Amino acid sequence: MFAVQKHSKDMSHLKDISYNLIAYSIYIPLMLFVTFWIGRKLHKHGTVYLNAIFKEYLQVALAANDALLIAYYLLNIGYTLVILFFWEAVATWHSLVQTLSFNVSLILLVLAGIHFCNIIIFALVSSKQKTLDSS
Amino acid sequence: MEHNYLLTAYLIYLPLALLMTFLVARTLFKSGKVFMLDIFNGREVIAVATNQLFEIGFYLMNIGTALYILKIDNVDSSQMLVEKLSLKIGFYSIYLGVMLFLNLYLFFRGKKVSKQRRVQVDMAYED
Repeated sequence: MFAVQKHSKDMSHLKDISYNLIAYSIYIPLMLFVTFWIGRKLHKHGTVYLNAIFKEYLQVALAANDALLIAYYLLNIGYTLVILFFWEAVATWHSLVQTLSFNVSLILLVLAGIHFCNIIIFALVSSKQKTLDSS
Repeated sequence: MEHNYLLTAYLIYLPLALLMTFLVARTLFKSGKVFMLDIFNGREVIAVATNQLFEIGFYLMNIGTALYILKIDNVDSSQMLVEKLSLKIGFYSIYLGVMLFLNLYLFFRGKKVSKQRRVQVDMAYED
């Protein structure tokens, strides 16, 4: 009896720290870190491409690259935080893992989609540039 | 007890899937650099940059998929745990294999296209 009471007392301590809150405190730092890390890498390697493609307008291209990086940060952090509102309630540890990984996966997949679109656009622009050069 | 089984399943699946992704990506993009150097005529800076961009895309897509398919339901016994877990990991392994071949196909195609371009440039110089 005593043990049960003690247990319930301990639980009441943690009452307002819900599983959702634990999930959020993993999700938000993780997503911010991933966003910044990937943004920095893409910015760095994108600069190499801009050097190769836009030789005449390099200053403009680099400025556009910086602006794009900021836009990417805003967009990504924005929808990372917006979909937090639509999370389902989490009641157990296994559903915490489920919900967390589902939401992280959505963001990673969207990022992958945008990233591959960007690569295709770069490839199209650079091939157009080549045909212009050769003509 | 169902919860315990599910949590165990996730705790086995997640590290294993991440490890598999990491190993495949490392092997693929170590050889990818050689292909890229060939495609870009030995211009190392742009070859390395392209390789890195593909690597980031590969990680994003595959880790995203691994997490997306994580959900398992109805595990009542250890037997079911092993069955469902092996189904999931097997499926992910096949998926990774398909992605690997897709990437290799892209590398070979890039190599072919750049070779054709080089032949065209050579012919233009001869004229």
